[in-house]
Amino acid sequence: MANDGVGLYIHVPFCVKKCSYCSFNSVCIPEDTSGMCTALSTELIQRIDEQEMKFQTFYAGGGTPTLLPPEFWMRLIGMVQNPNLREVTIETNPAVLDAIDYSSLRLAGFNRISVGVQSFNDSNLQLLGRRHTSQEAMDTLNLIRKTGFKNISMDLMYGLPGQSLEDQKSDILNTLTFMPQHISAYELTLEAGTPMGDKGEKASEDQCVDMYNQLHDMLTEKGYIHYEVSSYALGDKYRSLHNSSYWNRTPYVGIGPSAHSFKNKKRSWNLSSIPEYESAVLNGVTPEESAEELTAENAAHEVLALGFRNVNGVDLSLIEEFGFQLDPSDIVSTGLVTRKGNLLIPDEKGMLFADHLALVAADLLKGV
Amino acid sequence: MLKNIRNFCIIAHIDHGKSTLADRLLQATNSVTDREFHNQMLDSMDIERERGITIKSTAVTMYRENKAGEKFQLNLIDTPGHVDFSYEVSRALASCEGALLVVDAAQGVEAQTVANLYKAMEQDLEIIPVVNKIDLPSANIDETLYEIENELGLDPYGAIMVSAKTGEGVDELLNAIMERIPAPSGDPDAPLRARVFDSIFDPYRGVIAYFRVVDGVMRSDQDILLMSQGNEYRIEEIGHLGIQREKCKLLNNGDVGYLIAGIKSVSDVRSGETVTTKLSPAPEMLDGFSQAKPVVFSSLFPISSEDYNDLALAMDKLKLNDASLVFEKVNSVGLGFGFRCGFLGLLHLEVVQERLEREFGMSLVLTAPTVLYRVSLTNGQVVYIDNPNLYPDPSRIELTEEPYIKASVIMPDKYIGPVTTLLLGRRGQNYTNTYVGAKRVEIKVDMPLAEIVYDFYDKLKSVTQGYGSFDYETSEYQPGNLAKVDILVNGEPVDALSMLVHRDRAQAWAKNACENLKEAIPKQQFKIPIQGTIGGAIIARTTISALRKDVTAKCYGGDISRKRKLLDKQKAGKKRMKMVGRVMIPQKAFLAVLKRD
Repeated sequence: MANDGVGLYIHVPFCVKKCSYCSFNSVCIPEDTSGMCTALSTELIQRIDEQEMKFQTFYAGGGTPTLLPPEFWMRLIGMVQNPNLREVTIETNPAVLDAIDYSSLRLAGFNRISVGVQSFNDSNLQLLGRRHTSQEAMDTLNLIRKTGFKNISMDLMYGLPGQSLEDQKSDILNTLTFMPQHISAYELTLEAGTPMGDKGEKASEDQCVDMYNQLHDMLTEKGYIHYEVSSYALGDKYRSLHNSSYWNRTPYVGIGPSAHSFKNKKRSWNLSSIPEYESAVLNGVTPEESAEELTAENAAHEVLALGFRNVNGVDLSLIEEFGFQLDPSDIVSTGLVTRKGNLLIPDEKGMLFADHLALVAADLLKGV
Repeated sequence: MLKNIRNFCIIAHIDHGKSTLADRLLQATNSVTDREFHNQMLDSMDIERERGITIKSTAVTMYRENKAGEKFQLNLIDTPGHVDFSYEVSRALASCEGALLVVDAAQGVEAQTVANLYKAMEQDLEIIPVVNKIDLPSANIDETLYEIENELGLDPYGAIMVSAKTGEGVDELLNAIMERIPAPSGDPDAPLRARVFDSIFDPYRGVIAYFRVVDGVMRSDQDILLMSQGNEYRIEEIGHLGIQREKCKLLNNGDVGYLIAGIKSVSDVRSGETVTTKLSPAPEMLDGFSQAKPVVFSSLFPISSEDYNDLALAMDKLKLNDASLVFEKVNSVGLGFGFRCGFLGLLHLEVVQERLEREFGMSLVLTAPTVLYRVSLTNGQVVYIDNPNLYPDPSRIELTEEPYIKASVIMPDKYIGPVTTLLLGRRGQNYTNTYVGAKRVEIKVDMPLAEIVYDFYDKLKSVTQGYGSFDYETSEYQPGNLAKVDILVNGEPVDALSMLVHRDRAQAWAKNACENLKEAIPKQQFKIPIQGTIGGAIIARTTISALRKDVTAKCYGGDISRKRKLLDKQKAGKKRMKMVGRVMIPQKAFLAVLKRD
C-alpha cells in the first residue's frame, strides 16, 4: 500500500475536567505534563524510525490537546513535516479560553481547529458537565477566527435529556452565525461507566430522528454537504480528511495512550493506562497493548460497517477483492441505497439505517 | 459365588454428592488407578458432567474383601434421579437388592430423595441411609438424622456418616454394603432371564445393553431372544462392566454385565426388556416391562429451512441412543418443516435440544411445550391432542381433560407463604402441608401438569432462594375448561405460537404473551401489530412501533475493531432469528409467550 495517504493521530489524555458523557481515555490534567510530552514525541520518533512515512494528515485529539504547550506541537509537527501534509488539526475546548495561545498554535503549523462547543444552551452545557458557558464558546470562536484559522470545525450534540426540537434549532442557528467550514453533530451516546450513561436518560428515539432531520434540513439549506452520519462540510474540500481515512480504511498511526493504528491488515492499539504507557515508551518498549490481524471476513465486515455511514458508500469491488460476493438486490430493494456502478450509496435516510444495512449485507456475504 | 455378590444403587437429590460418592467407592476398591481417575467417573456425557446430573444408567463392578477376608463382587448401578427418567430408575432399582440413600447433611431430605426412596421401597430394597458432607461447617447431622427418621421412616441408627469429599466413612459404608444388603436370589438352573436396565449406542459396535442376570447363565456363544419384541440375535460379546468393558465367557445369575449382539438401535432393546436364550427360552418375561410414555410435547424447527434434512439426520442419530424420544414430521405455516417431538419431561426436552445443538451443530426454534390433552368429541370418539394446532373445533368437543400431577415441595418453613401462593396460582388443589423436620415443611398439591411445563422450577427456586426442592408423579386426567389462543404477528397467524389455555385465564394469558412478544421481537422498519385471538375474536393486542433509525452516532475515532465486532455479533445473532412473513422473530420469542411475571 502506498504510504502517502497515511494519517497521524496524537492522543492527549488530559482535560481540565472530564465531561459527564465522555468515555474516551482522559484524566484531569496533572501539574507537570512534561512526562507525557516526552513520551509522545519519543513514541513518534520510534514509530517513524520503524518506517519512513509521509503523513497526509496530522490530528491532535484527546482529551484537550491545546492544554499542551504550542512549542511542543511545533516540535512534533516539525518532525513529520513533508510536502504531502495537508490537514493539521487540533481539538480545543472553550473552557480554557484564557490559557490557550491560539496564534502560537497557528504558527506551530495547525491549519484546522475543531472546537468542542456541543451546545449554546447554558443549562444543557451544565447537564453535559462542560466547564464553559455559551458566551465563552462564542468568544473562543471569535478569537480563533481572528488568529487566522480558515478551517474551523464545530462539535455539536443533540438528543440530550429534556432537549426540545426548539432548543436544538436555536443551537443550529447560533452555529450558523459562524458558518464554520465543518460541523460534527453527534447524537448523545450513553456510555456505560459515565455519569450520564449510568443515569440512562436521553431524548426518545423519535425526538432524535426529528433532530437528525432538522439538522440535515437547516444545514444543507445553507450549503453544507451531509457527507457522513454525523458530519457536515461547507463544500467538499472541507470534508475531514483525517476522519475520512478511518472510514476509507487507509493506514494511520496512532500515538499516545489507547491510540489505535492500522497498517496492512493489522489493527493495533496502545496501552490505555497513562503510567504504563509512559513507562513503556521511556523504557524503549513498544506501548502496544494488543493487535489483531484481520481475516478476509473481518475486512469485508469493516467495509460494510463503515461504508453505509457515509456518502462514499460501499465499494462492491473491494468486497470481491476480499474473496466474497454480495448480491446487492436485497439491499437496494430496501429503498435506502442507490447503486452506482460498483458503489452502493446510502441516501439521507439510508445513513440513518447504516447499522441495519451493514447487517443485511453482512448476512448476504457469500464466500467464493 | 452368588452369596458374595451385592447389587446396589445410589439414590440422592441433585447436588447431594452421588457422583462424588461413586468416585470414592471406585477409588476405595482400587477399581480405578490414580492415572485413570477423573471426577464424575460414571457420567460420560458432557451434559451430565456440566449439570451434575445423570441421564443414562450405567453400572460398574468393584471388588472388595470383607473383614473375614472373603472377596465380594459389588455391582453399583448408577441411575438418573430425575423424575423424567423415573421409568429407567425403576428398571435399575429392580436389578438391585439394596440402595444407598444419600442425604446432604447441610441440606437435609429433599423432594427427589423422598420420591426415589418410595420407588426403592416398592422394589423391597434394603436401604442404607448415608449422611454425606459431614465435613461441611454447615452440616447439621442431628437434624438430618431426625428427618431420616421422621420424613423417610428409616432407622437413623443404621445411617452411615460419610464425607465423600474427604473419604471419611467410606470403608464403613463398604462394610455395610457387604453385611446388610442381601445376596441376589434367582434360580441358577432355570432358563436364562436377564433384565435390561439401559443401553447405549456405540457407533462402532452398535447397541451395548446393560443388564442383570436374574435366572440361569448367559454364555458368549449363545443366540438370544428379546422377549417383548420376539427378535433374535447372536451374541458377539458379553462381559463385566469395570471402568472399561471386561470381556468374559459366562455371566451367572446375580451378575451385572453388558452384551453386544449387532443390535441396531436402542429402541430394539428397551429398558425392562427380558433377555433369554433362543434354544431354551424362559416361559415368562420378567415383570415390570412397559414403555415410558412422553408427557411433554414441543415442535423443533431448524432456524434456516435449508437445514431440515440435517435436522432429520440428527434426529435419527439421536434416536439410536434415546429410545424414549418420539417424533414425527410436521409442517408449520410460518416455520416450515420440522418435528413434533414427545419427551419424558422438561429435563429430557432440554437434554435433546442441547444435544442437537451441541453434538450436531443445529440452530433450532422450539415451540412452547405442551401436555397431552384428552378430548371427547360429540360423536363419541376420544382423541389425544399433543399439538394446539390440531385442537378440534369447539363445536365438536364434548369434554376436554388435562393430565394432573401429584406434586411435592420441601422447603424451609419460612417460605411457606410464597410457595403456597405460587402453587395455588398454578391451579393447585387438595393442598396439605406437614413438617418433615424442625423447620422444614412438605407441601403436597394436585395440579395440572401444564402448569409446570415452563418456568415453574425457576419460579420455585427464586421464591425459596434455592432452598425448595420439587418432585412429582403423574396422576389421572381431570376435566379442564380450555381455549385455544392464537397469536397473529403482523396480521398473520403464527401457528407455532398457538397455545391451549384455561379459559378463565385466556385473556390475561394472551395479554401477557403479546407483551412478552413485544419485548422479544426487535423493532423493524415497519409497525408490527401483535394480536391474541380466540376463534378469530381479538382478546389482546400490542404494537411494536417502527424502527426509525439504526445507527450509532459515533465511530469511536480510529477504533474500527469495536465497530466491526459489533457487526460480527449482530450477524451471529441474526442466524438465531426466524423469518416469519416479513418479520424477523428471534429464537427466544417462541418461548417468551410462556413467561410470567
